[in-house]
Amino acid sequence: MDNFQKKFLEEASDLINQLEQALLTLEQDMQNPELVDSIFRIMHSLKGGGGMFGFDNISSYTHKLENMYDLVRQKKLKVSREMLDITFESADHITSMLNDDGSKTAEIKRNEEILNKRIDAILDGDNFSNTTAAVEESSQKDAGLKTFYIKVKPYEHIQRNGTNPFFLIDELVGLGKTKVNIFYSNIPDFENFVLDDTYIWWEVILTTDKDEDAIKDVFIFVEDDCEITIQKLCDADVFVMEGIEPLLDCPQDFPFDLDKIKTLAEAITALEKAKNESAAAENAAKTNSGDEHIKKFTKESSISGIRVASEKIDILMNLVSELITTQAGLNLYAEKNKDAELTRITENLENISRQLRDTAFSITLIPIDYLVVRFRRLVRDLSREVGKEIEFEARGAETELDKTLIEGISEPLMHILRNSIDHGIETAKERQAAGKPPAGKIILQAYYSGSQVVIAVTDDGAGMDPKKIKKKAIEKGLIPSDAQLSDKEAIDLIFMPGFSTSETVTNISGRGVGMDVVKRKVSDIRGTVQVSSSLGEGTTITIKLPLTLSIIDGMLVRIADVDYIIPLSVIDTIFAVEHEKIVASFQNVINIEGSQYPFYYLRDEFGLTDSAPAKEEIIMVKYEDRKIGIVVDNITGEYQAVLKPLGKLYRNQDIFSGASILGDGTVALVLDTHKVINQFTKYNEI
Amino acid sequence: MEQETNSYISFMLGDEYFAINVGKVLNILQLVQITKVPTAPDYMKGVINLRGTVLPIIDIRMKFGMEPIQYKRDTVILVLNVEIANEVVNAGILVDSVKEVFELQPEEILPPPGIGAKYKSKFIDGVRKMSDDRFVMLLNIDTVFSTDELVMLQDSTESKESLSAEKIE
Repeated sequence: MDNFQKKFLEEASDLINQLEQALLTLEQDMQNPELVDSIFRIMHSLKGGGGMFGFDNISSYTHKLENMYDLVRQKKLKVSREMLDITFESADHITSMLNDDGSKTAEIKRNEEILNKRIDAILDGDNFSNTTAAVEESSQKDAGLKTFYIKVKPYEHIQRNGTNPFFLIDELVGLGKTKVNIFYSNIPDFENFVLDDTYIWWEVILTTDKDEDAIKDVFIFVEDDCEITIQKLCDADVFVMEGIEPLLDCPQDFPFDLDKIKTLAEAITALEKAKNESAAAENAAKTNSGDEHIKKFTKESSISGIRVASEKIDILMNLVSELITTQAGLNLYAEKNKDAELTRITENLENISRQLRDTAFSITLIPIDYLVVRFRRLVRDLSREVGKEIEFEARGAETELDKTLIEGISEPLMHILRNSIDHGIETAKERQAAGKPPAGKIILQAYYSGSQVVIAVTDDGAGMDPKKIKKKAIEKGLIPSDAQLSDKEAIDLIFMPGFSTSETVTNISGRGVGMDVVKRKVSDIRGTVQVSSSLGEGTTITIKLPLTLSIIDGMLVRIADVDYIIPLSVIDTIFAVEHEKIVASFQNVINIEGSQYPFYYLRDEFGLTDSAPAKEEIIMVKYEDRKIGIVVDNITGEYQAVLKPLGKLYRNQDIFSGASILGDGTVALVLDTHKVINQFTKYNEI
Repeated sequence: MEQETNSYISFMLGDEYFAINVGKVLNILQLVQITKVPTAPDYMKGVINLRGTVLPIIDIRMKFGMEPIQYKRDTVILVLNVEIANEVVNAGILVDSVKEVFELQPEEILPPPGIGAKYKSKFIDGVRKMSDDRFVMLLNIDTVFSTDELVMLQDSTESKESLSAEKIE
């Protein structure tokens, strides 16, 4: 497949994404002409792109859909549920056409025939009245037409600047319907005639759907070379007004009688208005919505971004990383040299590098909204399939996540939603019996919390019954029958491999894989999953993801002769502490300023035997909702660390999230305090 | 990306000569400060900065059951590209000194004789007799680094007994 086709495929899947979003909104607001317009535009782009890059099947199929929506645009057809269903299925159909590698061509053909029949049924079924359509069509044509009077009187020298005034007039004629009046009266006698000078001038009556600015644009380069008058005569097409025609036919060198034209045009317009007030009102409304639409469109195109290949972003990120490392070297050098000017420049540069780093990083982030469209679609389709009424709400969809995290989180979230729809939310009957509103609700909520992103999926369904879960787990032999479990522990059993509470295996969620897969997939991207549920009220599943940044703000510390970096985001406070106090502490709990803190003495945990300094530092890090101390020899200072992987050989040392190269070229290890605490806690308990 | 050539680079571990195909060797570095990674097995010496990337350093002597390396003037790091579980990674090995680069035709390579008793023969592709009648062992560096062997050594470094047992295998 050539490059262009690949580009088209990318673009097409974007378009389909947009299409689904527009459809979902249209479903809520079926008569919204803007949405119909945008769907029409998407179809049109798909058709155009498909045709251009050799996807003729897509082109011809979208052409039919485009026709359907065109009729809606022309108000000959009303948006119906069947139409939305067809379009949704068409989105799937187009996707499968895009992804077809030749193996499923027959199936796709069959689908297309079915869809085509349904489209035809819609097109034939509504035998709309042609007369009203025709009227509407013509009135729509009039909508937005305005008539201007333009006087162009070039100064004599205009041609010396290389401007041919005839082109200006030609351009005006191109804008709409025109009547041009030419004035030769200024042409001098033959002796005084200068070949390069311009003596003639024009008057133009122009009826166009463009606004005054468009006309001004014609003269944008000659503003200083001619006298230009632009005057709006009326909001109508004077060329169709019978009474005005004679006024437009002026003899040579006689100017248009503007006042007469204007009054007459106004009178005629008013008359027409009176004749068909309702039609005129509709006209105006259309003109308005037309204007608004144009405004909106330009706004959209000005905020939308550009498409960049992800490799380019990777290169950018690598360069920024190298810059940060070089910056650290410069900082070190400036510090050593104690040169005021050098220090000042270094500080300025550091400020810029920092901002560059943040900006470059933000480029790799994608809002969760990217997934939400897919989820809406899933909830819509599945809830229909299982015959439940479910509302889906997404909050904080603007929360941004790294691209790789977005990819990793999509499947687990899908699975959680499936579970909620299938098992969580009850049928309307059951809900009413329980005194709940018949429609269930699923809320997806995303927000930042410290150095983590939290994504919570809450449903107001039946909730989980700890007793039932426990019974099931015993039946499946996952726990011994006499196991004593708290309710929370019982609910956590759903994360065990091979657990599924569904009594009937459905094709939606009960596929034998369950929450254990969700848990595994989330921990693959270094996240955690928690579940809380209360019987009869609903379930909340919370996923916490680290903001794994490739560049982090950290605290550079030393233990023995090795540098370590602890991310600033997890550090709460730092205390100095006597080594003796640490030796004297009982069970690794230390008393600081009246509070007791558990702590980890990394020298011991790392198996270092050489003697420790008399004064050490204890760094309080946030661990879940507690503060836990980590003892280091001393603190060097704040450091911007570029995270580098430690590599495959050190994959078992997961207490280090990576390494970073310091200004002097040595390597510091980046501590994952969460993992440090987990690992050494386990170790101590054994 | 690696090309097997007929050129080999020889180096010493203790009193023994070893050689690696130059296609596997990316670079020879002077010894620099190595950052130790706590909790890792002893033969994994730590990491260094190789032009902005983090390079793991292995004490290959410990891997072969010799005494840990003593850093001397001649100690160098050979930067290799090794294949671990179908993935090419860069790693450095510490060697006592680098000797020479020599050409070797495939037919000159002898199967590993008697020495199979001393070193695991799967680490050795063959031997070659040098002009001074010494033997040089051609290392198969991929198997030396292969995941199982690392785990094996990790377990075996627990006690000296198991180390010597491995040598005799």
